[in-house]
Amino acid sequence: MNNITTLSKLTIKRDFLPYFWLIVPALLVYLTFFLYPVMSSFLYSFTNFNGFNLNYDFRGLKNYKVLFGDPVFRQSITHTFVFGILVVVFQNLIALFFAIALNKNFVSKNLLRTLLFMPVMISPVIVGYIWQFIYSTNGLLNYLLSNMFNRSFHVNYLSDGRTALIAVVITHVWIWIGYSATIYLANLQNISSELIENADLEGCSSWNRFRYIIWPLLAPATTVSVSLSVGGSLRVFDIIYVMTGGGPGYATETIATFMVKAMQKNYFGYAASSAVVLLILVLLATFIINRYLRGREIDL
Amino acid sequence: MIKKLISVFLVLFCLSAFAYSSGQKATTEPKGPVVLSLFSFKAAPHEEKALIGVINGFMDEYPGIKVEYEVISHQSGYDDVLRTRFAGGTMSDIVMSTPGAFGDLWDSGYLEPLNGEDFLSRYPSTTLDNVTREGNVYAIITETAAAGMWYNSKVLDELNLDYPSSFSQFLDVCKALKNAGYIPFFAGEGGGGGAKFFSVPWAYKNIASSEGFPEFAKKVNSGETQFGEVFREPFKAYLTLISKGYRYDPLNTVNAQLGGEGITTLAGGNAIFMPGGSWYAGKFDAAMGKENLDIKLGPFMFDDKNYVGVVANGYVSIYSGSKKKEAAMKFLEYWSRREVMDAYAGELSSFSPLEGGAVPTHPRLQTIARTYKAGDITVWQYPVPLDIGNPWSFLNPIVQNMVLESKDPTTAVERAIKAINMEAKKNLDLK
Repeated sequence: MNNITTLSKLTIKRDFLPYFWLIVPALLVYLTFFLYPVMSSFLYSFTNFNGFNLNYDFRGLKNYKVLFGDPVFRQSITHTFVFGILVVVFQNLIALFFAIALNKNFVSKNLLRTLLFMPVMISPVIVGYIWQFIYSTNGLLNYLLSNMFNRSFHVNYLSDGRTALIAVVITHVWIWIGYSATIYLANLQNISSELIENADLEGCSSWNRFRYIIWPLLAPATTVSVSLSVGGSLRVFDIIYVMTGGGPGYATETIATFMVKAMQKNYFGYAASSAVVLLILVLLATFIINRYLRGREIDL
Repeated sequence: MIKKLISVFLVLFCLSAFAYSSGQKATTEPKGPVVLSLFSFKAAPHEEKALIGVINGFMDEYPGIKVEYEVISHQSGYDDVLRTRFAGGTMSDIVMSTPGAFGDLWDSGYLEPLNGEDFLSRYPSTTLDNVTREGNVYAIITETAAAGMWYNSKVLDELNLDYPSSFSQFLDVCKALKNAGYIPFFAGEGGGGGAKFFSVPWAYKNIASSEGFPEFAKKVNSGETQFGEVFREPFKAYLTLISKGYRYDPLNTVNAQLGGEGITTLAGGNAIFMPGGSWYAGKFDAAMGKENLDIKLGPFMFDDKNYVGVVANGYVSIYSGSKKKEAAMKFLEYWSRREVMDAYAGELSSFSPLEGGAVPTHPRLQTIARTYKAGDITVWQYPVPLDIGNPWSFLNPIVQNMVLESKDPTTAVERAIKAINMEAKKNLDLK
């Protein structure tokens, strides 16, 4: 028995250790730049840390109590979820449409694929400024609407509390469509052409072909794309901060912008508590959606 | 074996070289002048020029002290660097802070008290209130920025209209301007927006003329008085301007910035009045095109008469961890001299914060300078510690919402007051 234990230890040492040393650099980076900040944020969320003074006091759950009693924070949770749902639905639907369209053989498909992916490569800050001009009173959107409906439009979509959130959602979707489309496209190209041809020979309509063959086979891409868009949209900060700063009023305030504003007021402990809430919500949402989508993959 | 020996030798060699170099550094400390470091957020070209003027003058007078400065603008993250350096114990000997950060710096014990220094007597005690905590003064003030109403004086002259001297007169002037086909008033609520500029000095003037700032602060800090109540009168007045149709708003831009779209609008002749600060003087110079306009800064018109809104800014303190406090104190004394301070503040289009200090010579600022000299002054940063946080920083979204809801002014004002009270309570809970 003793010999077997010694042998297995030797095997572990021989087989495992070389691989362990290979992952050590990545592990160190992960521990230092991800796990440590997350854990320290968690600890700070129970303190009155102001960003300046390291002699902070622990104050138990008081930050969380104030947080959930804050109507602006509650509003920001609603906005975060509305933003997330709209982005996930529209980003994936439109991306799927483009992926199917770009999966056909035509002359300019590579150019169109590049154009579709291009917004992903532009900094969200720059995109935000470009769309500010599009949404401004004398911007492109009002110009197009005025010409389409033959009457003048003078709406500033980012200054109106009723349109600001939708306007930012559209911009965010515009940026990330190319990314999701690439994921769907990669999956589409792996679907056997024989399967499609057989369906055509059997007289399957386009809709049925999509519904019963393509859509189920796209399950792996759907899982990846939806999961990434859920995480990305719930954590959204940059595009909102550039375009509206969370305003007008609190019309586009999300948990991430709320958190940064708390930091700007030197309420670091309070900001950390909102970061913890955001982390939990993102983890929960991603877990639930992943569980559902993975189940769909297994059914396949 | 040989490889191992070589490795050990190389490691020892590196370690000894490192130890030697460290030791060298400690023993060969240059015996030159005392080097003071200064960290500032005054990063705009004209601000940096003004700062260099002070530093060079000081070094001429004290050849044994060298001042090295570093500037980072607020937009580039001055406050973040400030936090990191203080927390890491690597802060410069002399540090500049804003009213927003000053309280936290003091609270963290990073600032050296300046009590007993003769040069403090050159400042009015009301100015020093801003930087006094528990009876000790922790900074000198290097500028007093003024706020009021930018206006197109040429149009007023053409219509034989005097500059209004109360809010009711202002409404009359707006009516006359509107009847003559002009748009009287620009309002944008982006950043430090119009409603905030207009309402805060008015509210604080009311506090000063009733129970005074320290007494009111005590009541607010204890939760006995609701802070938002002081804004009812100015908020109503501001929404009156909007509801009477005096506001320039073809752009429907509640996010518009006074210092951006506002200046363009006034400089383009598209509106006559706009709330704003003295620091826009240079921007107006740059924005004026072919239009033959004359844009000047006048005082605010509140319920009874006109006031200049002022803020003591550019707090300069000595880092409590500095090893060169004596030299740093000399620098603060030098900066507090009348000729030095007047030149510095003048370069920034600000008023000198010293007792009887100079007013800026910029031609656009002469109307407001007259009211300033007459002593009709009100502040727009609360001058004594408030536990409810800095109202100037938390009012933005609240007044934006109020303006968005201005179709029903009564409800909009009440909601804004309620929001201020809730924010104040939250900040008290977090304190």
